[in-house]
Amino acid sequence: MDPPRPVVHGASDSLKEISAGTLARLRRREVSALSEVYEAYGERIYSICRRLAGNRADAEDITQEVLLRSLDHAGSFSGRASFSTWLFRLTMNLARNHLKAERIRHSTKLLAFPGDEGPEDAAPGPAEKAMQREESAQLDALLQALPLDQRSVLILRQLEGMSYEAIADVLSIPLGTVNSRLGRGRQRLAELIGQSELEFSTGRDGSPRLGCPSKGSR
Amino acid sequence: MMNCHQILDQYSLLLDGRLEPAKRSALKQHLAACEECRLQTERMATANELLSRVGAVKAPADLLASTLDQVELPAAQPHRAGILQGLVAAGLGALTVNLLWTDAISSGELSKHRGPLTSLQAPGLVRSELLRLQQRPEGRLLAWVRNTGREAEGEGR
Repeated sequence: MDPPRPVVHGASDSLKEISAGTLARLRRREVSALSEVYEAYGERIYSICRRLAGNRADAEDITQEVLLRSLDHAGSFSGRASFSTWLFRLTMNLARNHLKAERIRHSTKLLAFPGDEGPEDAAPGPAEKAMQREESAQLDALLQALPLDQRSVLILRQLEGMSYEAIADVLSIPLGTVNSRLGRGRQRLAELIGQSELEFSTGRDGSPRLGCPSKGSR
Repeated sequence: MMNCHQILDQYSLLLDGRLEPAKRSALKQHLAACEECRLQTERMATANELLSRVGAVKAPADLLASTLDQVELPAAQPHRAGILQGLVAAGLGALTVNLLWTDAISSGELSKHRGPLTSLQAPGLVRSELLRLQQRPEGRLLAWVRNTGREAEGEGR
């Protein structure tokens, strides 16, 4: 058995920090500082929220709330953690609250295919794009079937490429809990893949991809 | 001897490159013997691959703009116009003090009037005197100063 390659993500783990000047202006509630925060973290925050929520509308709401709160609460940022850790912590907390409230509002049962809401990804060719969108929707469906705790660690680990230590920091949980949630989350994903007839097939470029036999993808 | 559940936890660590080398051979042995775990670990690897390949979702282009629209204007936003307005108001405020002291001081209800007048805590004007003052050219200035003060206060909320 060859051990699979560890997932490597560019600079994801060396979280960029805003300058002291920007932070000072944020604390004074200057709107220009908020733009800089968005510049540095907006895409990542949105992406995390989008995968956590499984749909665009909630992701937008949560991202906006994170940004507005960062403006309101920058004064209470103590500097004990880095600003990025503080901001991602804020993101995860607000997302959790938002999604819990949302789940109470609509009863849970129907979130089957939340990716179905028009284009939002950057565009390569149309065929590739369609494939990406389909995969993206499959991923959403899989992630939404996980408990929020497991979904959170998986997203931070695999989409954000954060280290276990950084995840523990952002979620304020012990390292052992990061381990076990990742383990359980991946096992649950594996079970779902087994159950849902999503089949492992091989794409033209030789990379593995999920196909759906009922749609005749082989 | 590890059970299947523990094996899968270890496989998760392996996926992240965090499994100690000493534990890898035990994992390998188990997988060679356990069909169920082998299948499950293949699916875990598939899920992992999907997660790392699909990746980020791009934010809508107008997200920043729509967020900024919701920002309530801060109290002390030091844009240039604000500073200039502040300086002018301060200058006129000083002028107001002069007007008050030289022209129209008596007893009364100044404390009921808001804006720079109260904040200066001048001894006060009776209403009629205040009106008379406001009708003179300097009085219009005074009114302007007071309104400016209110606007500034309003912004502060």
